[in-house]
Amino acid sequence: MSRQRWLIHLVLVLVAIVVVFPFYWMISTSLKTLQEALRVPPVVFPTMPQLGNYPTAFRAAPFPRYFLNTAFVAGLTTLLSLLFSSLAAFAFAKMRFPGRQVLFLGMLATLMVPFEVQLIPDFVIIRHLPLLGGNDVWGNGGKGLYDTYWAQIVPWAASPFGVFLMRQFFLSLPNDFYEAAQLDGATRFVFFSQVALPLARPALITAGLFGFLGSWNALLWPLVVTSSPEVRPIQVGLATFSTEQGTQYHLLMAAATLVMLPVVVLYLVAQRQFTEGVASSGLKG
Amino acid sequence: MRVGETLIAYLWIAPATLIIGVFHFLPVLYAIYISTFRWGLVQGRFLGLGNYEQALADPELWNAFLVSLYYVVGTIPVALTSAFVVAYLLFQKINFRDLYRTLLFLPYVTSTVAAAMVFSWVFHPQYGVANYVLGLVGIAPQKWLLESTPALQLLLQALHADPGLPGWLYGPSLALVVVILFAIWHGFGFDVVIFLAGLSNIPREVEEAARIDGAGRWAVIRYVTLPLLSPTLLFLIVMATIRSFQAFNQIYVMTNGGPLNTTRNVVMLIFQNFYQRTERVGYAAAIAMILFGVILVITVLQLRIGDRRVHYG
Repeated sequence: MSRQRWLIHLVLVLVAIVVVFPFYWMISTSLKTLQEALRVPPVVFPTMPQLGNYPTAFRAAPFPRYFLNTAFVAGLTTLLSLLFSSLAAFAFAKMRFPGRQVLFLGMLATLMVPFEVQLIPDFVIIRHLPLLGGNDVWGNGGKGLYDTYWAQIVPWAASPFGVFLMRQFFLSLPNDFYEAAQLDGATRFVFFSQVALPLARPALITAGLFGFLGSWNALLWPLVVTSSPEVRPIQVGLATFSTEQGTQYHLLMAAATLVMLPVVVLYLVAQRQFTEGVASSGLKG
Repeated sequence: MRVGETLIAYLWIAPATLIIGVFHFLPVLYAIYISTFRWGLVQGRFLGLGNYEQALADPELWNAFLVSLYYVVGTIPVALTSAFVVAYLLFQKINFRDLYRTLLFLPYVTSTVAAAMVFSWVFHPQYGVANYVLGLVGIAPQKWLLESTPALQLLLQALHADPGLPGWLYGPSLALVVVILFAIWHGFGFDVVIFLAGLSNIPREVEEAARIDGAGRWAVIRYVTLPLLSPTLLFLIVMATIRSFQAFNQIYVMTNGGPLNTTRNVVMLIFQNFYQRTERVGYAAAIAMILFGVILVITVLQLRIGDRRVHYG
């Protein structure tokens, strides 16, 4: 290898070490006793790995519940969003109907609105949905979907970005294809589910991965719209745990590791889809 | 066009349109409505532009915009320069390229809450490993996330060269610098991946032609690669600006807006008014609309200026 190659590797290794170091330090601390974690100078390798920190951290707050909540909310949000977004995308791409342009542009326009603008009205809307959660027809009297799973799912059960991404894909399917299938007597839905969706797998995976990631890592919305541990997701639980157990650093790091783990595993399994998804769309779901 | 087809099409778009309409589109109009009222737990008196007047006269808001400005200016140049260098190096048909890319992209997918907890621990004022490393090179331990003094002022004080300027001229507090470091770390892989995609779109022949014409490595980068990469760069700058203005999770976990509000950006201010002082919902909505306007103006300006300077193709 030439000298120049060595130099490049040297730079890249240094950058990689800086990027990875926080992960190393998190895992290292999570395996120490509290005394060892607090020692100065810091201990680089735990002398006696304390695997027991993980179950202890897991029991120190309702983490199993938080995990289940997030798995349910993120899973269902992703599935619904893929279904509703691709249905709409297919109609926008392949069907003719009045208002098609206006409705599609209206959806696209919402991509420019920062979430902070939607936060407050969405909160008010969630509380005042008619006939839900003890509300009357006018949306008063109860608390609507406040503090439920549905409050965390429904607003994200369709995504303008997903509609846009899928529509681009369906547009690239030749119209002859679609018309031939119709002549052969296939209904629209059969064509959609048997032909179009399987072909759209790469776009579906991209939209699904980023939808899931966004849902798994969400903090602000669930923090505002829930209050009880029975429905709160893992990120809110972890942030609360961090405030309450502020000095149990070994347990904090064990909990942080556990929360990172599922997404890191998912990333390592599907990393090509992740990086190609980012590169092709450049957008976070 | 048949009536049947139209009805079916409406059925197909109904779920998505309903959800996006109710929770994404109408809220913008509703936010404007809310922002013109005194609005606590319930809707109160109509105030017209009262909330806006109050917000614009409030030093809290200006301070929050200053924090956002520091954040943008602190992240983007450093993040994009270093990401470009790394992407450029990775692009040189290097061994282990995929391994490097995997590692560098890792922070971007990890939960900001968990990662911010790790940063708080690394930068712990008493037991943090950051202070230990500083100690190795003979620098006194810092309070990091608890330090409201600007980083620059601390540096000048240590050199006994503090000229005693007005506070804001010193730039971000040390606490905000840590938050900025976090943002660079977390978004780094994203920038690298986008740069890599941009680099692979540049036709090899163009760079080779320049080289054959006698251009050195730096000249090729400066006059061929970078200009051809400028659409990517513009995209990254616009995205990073929007992302910076919207930063919340890491600030909530690391400082909750403190110390002395030196990390409280506009989103944090909205959150505090809306969530922690519930009687100020209308006021928070007004701040959100102001933020929306500012982001919109900045984005349009960036695209306008960018369009004039970007070389497409």
